[in-house]
Amino acid sequence: MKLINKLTIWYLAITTVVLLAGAFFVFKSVQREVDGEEIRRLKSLMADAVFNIEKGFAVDSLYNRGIEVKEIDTALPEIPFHVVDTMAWHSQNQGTERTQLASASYKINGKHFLIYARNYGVEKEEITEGVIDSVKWIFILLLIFVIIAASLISKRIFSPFRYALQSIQSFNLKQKEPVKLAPTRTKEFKELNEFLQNMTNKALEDYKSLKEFTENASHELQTPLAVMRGKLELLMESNISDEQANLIMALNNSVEKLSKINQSLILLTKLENREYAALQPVNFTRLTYQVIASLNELIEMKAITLQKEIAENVQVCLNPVLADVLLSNLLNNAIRHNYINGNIRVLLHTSKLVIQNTGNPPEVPTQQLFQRFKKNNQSTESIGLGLSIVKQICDINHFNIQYTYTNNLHTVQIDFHAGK
Amino acid sequence: MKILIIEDNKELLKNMHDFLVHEGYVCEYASSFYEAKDKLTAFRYDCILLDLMLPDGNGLNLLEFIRAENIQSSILIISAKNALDDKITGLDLGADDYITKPFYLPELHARIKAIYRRKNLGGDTVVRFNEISVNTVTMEAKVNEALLDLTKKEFDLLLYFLINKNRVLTRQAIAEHLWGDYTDNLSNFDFVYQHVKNLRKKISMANGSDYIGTVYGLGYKFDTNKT
Repeated sequence: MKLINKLTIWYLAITTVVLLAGAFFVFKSVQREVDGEEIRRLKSLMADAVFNIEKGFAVDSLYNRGIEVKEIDTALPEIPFHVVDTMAWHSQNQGTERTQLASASYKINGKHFLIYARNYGVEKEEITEGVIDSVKWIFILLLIFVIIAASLISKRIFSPFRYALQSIQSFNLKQKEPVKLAPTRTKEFKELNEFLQNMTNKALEDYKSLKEFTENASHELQTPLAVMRGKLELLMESNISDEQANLIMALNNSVEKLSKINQSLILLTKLENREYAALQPVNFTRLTYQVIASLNELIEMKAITLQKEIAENVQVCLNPVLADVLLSNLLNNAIRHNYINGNIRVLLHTSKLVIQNTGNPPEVPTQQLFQRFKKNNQSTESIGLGLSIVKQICDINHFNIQYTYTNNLHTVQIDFHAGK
Repeated sequence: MKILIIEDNKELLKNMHDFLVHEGYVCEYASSFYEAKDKLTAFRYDCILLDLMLPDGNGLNLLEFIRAENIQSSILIISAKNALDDKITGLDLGADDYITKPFYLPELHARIKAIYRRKNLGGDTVVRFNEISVNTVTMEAKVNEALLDLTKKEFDLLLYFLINKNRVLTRQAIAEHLWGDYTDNLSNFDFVYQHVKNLRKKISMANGSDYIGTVYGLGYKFDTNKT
């Protein structure tokens, strides 16, 4: 639910409560005023009657004006003016109506008169009706104006918020652009903008330092590795015994492995940092042929039979460098973990790539082979990062990858459109 | 041939220096941006080996300096970044080639030779040793003027051996030279063995001497003293 709708509903709910309470007070005060007015009228009516009696008018002549006069014992004390609310028969309306009955006694010219004055008062229902009617109209007008105003004003008031939301959604660390936020005078939005600005700036800085660290780490490790490799090569040129040659070679192999692991880890880090954007579709068909051609000698050397089912002009949205790494790693694996005289089947469709090869059954569950440094055969020379890199490439491009082993065949299947 | 090595790591500098001096090059070195600038202003070099990351200034700035001064040396960039990095900016700025750390010294040597050959088109494009000659332009290898029928890889291998005569070439170094630096399949060196074997066979069949020998435990060597 939209914030403005929520606010409007709350506002209207509160208004309803206030209007109801207000209606009650209006009702009370209208009734009080009306009653007060009536009482004043009764008083003056009574004063008129007293005046007329003093003037010597006949008592009976006063009756038709709602006045009733009774003569009572002069010994009784005078009754002061008081009003009683009562119900009385109203002959014209043929029903009982609310009646205010005022009474007082006066001693005039040695006689004691008890005077009653009555008045058919305004009834509660009539006031209630009036009050409810007016409150109803107030409420309807309020409803209409609040809703119209809310939709109009919210557009204006929330515009910095919406702008901020949009810039956050389009914010991308890789673009290295700080978020642009609309200036605002609203305190909350100011705080929000400030927070967003600080947070994204921090993220950009962290990203930058991470990237720098990756680069530096690579540089810092590659240089000593280059030194080691060079020293070993110079050592090889000197007069060495067979035993020393073996030692040098063991060292050389370790340096080799270290260097490969370093390069692979850097690549993985870069992939995680999303540094390889898919710029435009690459011709996967052509790339597949190229990679196969470059590995042809290896395939021949193991006397592997290669079956190709490659569709024409398959376009996949993937960074070309990554596409190359993906295909090279998968095909290299298919060759490396194959038998002599084995088989490889490469199938490329518009929506999927399947690479099947013969090979020893896996010793660990196939899905685990995507994990870093997880190797099927711990003793092999491979470093165990090839499939992790493949998986990472698939993940960032929303491809679905599956590795299965059935009927003595290792099958890696990549669905290009899984995530779309 | 005169080479200037610009590298801040002393040991790496010494490796390259010793190796290249042993190959008969005249080598000078600079280990900082300003030292390099001084040397470049004062002397002429045929080839410059440039480490992109220097302590007191980016190597790329030096590259710009070289271009601005119109210095006509071949430039080989030594970079910690490999082909998978976004871009090798140096190549846009007029460097001739780049080599990724950690590199093999024979590989460095082969690259220096290659860019030197490319830069000096009027120069000798034929690499010769005794009866063997390799034409780097026509991609023809001959033994006693008899044409050898070599594959692309065998040709590259022969050239690599000829450039790094009397050097021990490990199988890794050969594999990397022939297959590029991110071929992950180096655990299987059978194919290096296969290529060397084929090459030796083809040279022998053309009545060439078998200069290529195995060095126990290490790799192969093109031995000029063999007959």
